[in-house]
Amino acid sequence: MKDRILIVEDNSMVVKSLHFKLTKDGYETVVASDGREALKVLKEQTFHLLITDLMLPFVSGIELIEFVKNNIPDLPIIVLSTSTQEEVIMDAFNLGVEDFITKPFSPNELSLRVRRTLQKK
Amino acid sequence: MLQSSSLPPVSILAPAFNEEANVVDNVRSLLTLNYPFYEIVIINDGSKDKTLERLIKSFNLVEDDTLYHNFIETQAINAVYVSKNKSFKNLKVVDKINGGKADALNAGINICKNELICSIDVDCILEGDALLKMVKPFLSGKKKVIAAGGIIRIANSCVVEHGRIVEVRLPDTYIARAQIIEYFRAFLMGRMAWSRIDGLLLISGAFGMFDKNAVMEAGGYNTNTVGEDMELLVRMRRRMREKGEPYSVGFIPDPLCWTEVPQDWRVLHRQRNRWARGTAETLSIHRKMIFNPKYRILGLLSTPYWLFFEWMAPIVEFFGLAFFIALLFLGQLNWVFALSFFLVAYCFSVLYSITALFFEEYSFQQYKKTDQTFKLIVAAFLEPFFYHPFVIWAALKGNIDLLRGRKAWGNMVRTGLGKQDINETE
Amino acid sequence: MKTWEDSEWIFKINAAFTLLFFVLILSFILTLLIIRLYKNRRNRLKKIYEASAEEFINSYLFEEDIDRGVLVEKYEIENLKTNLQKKVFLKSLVGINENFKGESSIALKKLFHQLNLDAFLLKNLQKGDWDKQSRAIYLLAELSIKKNNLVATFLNAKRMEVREQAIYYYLKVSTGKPLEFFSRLTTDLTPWELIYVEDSLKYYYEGSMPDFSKWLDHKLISIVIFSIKMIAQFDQFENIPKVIPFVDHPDEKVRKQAIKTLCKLSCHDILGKLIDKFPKESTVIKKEIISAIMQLGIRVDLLAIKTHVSENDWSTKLAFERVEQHFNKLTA
Repeated sequence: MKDRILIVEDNSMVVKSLHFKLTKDGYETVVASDGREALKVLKEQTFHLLITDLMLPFVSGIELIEFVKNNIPDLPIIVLSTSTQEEVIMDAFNLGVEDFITKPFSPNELSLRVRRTLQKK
Repeated sequence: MLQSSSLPPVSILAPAFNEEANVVDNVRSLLTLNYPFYEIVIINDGSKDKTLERLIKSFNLVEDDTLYHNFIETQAINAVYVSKNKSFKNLKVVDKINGGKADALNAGINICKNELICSIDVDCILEGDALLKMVKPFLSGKKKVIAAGGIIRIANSCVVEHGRIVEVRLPDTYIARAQIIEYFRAFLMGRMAWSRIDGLLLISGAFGMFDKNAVMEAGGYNTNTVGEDMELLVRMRRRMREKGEPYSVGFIPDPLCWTEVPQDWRVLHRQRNRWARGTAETLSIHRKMIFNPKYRILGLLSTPYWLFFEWMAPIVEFFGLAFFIALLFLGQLNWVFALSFFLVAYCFSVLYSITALFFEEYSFQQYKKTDQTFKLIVAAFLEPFFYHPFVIWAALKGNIDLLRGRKAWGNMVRTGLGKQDINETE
Repeated sequence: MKTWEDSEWIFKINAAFTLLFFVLILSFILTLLIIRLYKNRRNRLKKIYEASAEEFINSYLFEEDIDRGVLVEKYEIENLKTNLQKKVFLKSLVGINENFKGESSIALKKLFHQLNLDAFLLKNLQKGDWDKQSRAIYLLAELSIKKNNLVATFLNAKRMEVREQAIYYYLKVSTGKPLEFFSRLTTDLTPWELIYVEDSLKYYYEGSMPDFSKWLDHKLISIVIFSIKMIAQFDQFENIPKVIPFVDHPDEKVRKQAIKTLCKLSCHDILGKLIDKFPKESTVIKKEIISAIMQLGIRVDLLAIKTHVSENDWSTKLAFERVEQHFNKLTA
């Protein structure tokens, strides 16, 4: 069975590229464009990895991460954010995310990190 | 784009009188504006309801002891509050004895700390980047900019989420649609054109930005008129001209502020009655400017325009109609003339509205659907019959009231934006 | 019923104008509808083009076993025929490029040249309206295409929007000398533009920060003030001695910024000089000195100027009292 990845990101271009790339890599991807939608999908389906932005409409990325860590502790998280501020990155790691990638990012690198995170599990 | 710490800090001044129903939501919405440094000063103008209590409770307010100077005289200030929470640190609430809108704004000017002030109606909805765009003229010119205004849009029936317009809808009621046509005419054609020749006399009280020092030098808002927004700008411009200092007034041709217009004929009547009184009072205070070449465009074009076409038009129209009726009863009417003249006038007014619609379509196009355009065209054809006479009557009544010495502000009944509760402020 | 010739002139005039207005109304309504339909169609097309462009760019980047040369050639012939198609494609290309770095970003720039879009941009830059020009400069900047001399002509353009993009271009594209364009300026930059330069330096420029003291003798006063300010913003402590003389500059705005900068760089030595200058200064500078005392000094420094704060100058007095209150709170 293919590993299932949930991508939460409000920039539609990034979403399309990620979806394209990760599908090519052999994963099944589901996309949510805001935090509220992501929470809904997470409650209904199971995933093997969550890739999320931090600045999201309605429910922020941090809130989303908190929800996952409290309710689906086995789901690994990769944050994909434009923020390069140290405190934001620290906050995310303190909440227990597996990896943090800053935008602009290299799609090939992201693909490697996704594979590594899924293997570690 | 701009997140710079070098942008000038702005103080938003919002008077609140009996606004308990919505004031907390309105402040929350103001707190989310996209601008690096701004302060929100809510002036509770002696509300008789729980406006102040709600603010204190929701934002965890405590009394503040920062010194201020009463440069402009106002009614007594009871206390100034700030929040204990860090996330509301740019909120200030001034509690004062009731003194009317102008007096409340003056108190805000005394207490606020920044050099640029933005006066708004507390219940209007600002676009996220409204301050950023408004500040631009103050930073772009060679001449000193004393004030700037923008386009006001009508928020009735629009979908509002978290204090932001998320979907622009056309109001269902005819009365609101007619006002949309009216606002298009006023903002897209009138003010845009006046600003082109630097003859703008009015920055709407719903949203305008001012240089605080220029306002203070002019003496602040006039508490003796109901048209305090227009009167202030006219006085500031007059003063700058008399001082001989080069200056300009900015106008941002972008829709930055959304406000709810009256959907009730009674309330609309009160509003227009007040506007007419405000115009008459301002013109009378500054009557020396009218036709005075010393004031250039303002003296030779702007003030005469306001005199004849804003203040006198309703009176002329009324007497025209009265004359028509008199002739009718006396059997002296020349029907061919009357009808043909009526047709010219009607076609002209529709043409004016349609041109405004055309400008809107050409520029901003807030109403994107074809059926919305059709509905607005229909409204433009009906407006001269079913809206215009009413507004004229209200303006005429305002002048009559003024002669009789009525000063009070009419109260506004508002249906809360984004909800349906009615905030009756009788 | 009278005939047209018999009727009176006033009726004729009325009728003529009615007809004129009516025709105008109809033609406006018609144009309104045509514009609306045109825009609707254009928006529909844009969506289609956008989807096609994104699909193509993603295949170009991530598809493995394909002949990229054939793919590109085919796409150019079939999907980049109209200006609208090119415009939409460029928007997508830059939008995707913004988020990528590494080999994907390099590949996207290569794709731009392969599709001959540079010719399209240059044509817009030379012949287009200001909005096309500013857009073209923006795209050149985003894709880091070296056209320094061409863009330089737009630094003094009439439209502010074009000037802004030209500034942005220099900051984004240059790796070593982001403010090289200062030497090409002929008129003062507005505060808005300077804020823009500052922001671009902070958020988009990736090279090493220049030494701002080299513009302290620039002929444009706005550039001098800006440089003094940036010395503080980027903590160039080594320039403190060069800034100190500006405290005596004839222009009030320069003096104000010099004081601000020295404060930010915690130059305690300047305090004595400022206190000496206080009595003769303007209100604006007096307030700035009071603020400097709050940041650098102690209560005694404040007391040193007390006798020179006039009762009538309420705004200086208010500033003084606020700082006094601040010191009181510290000691309490």
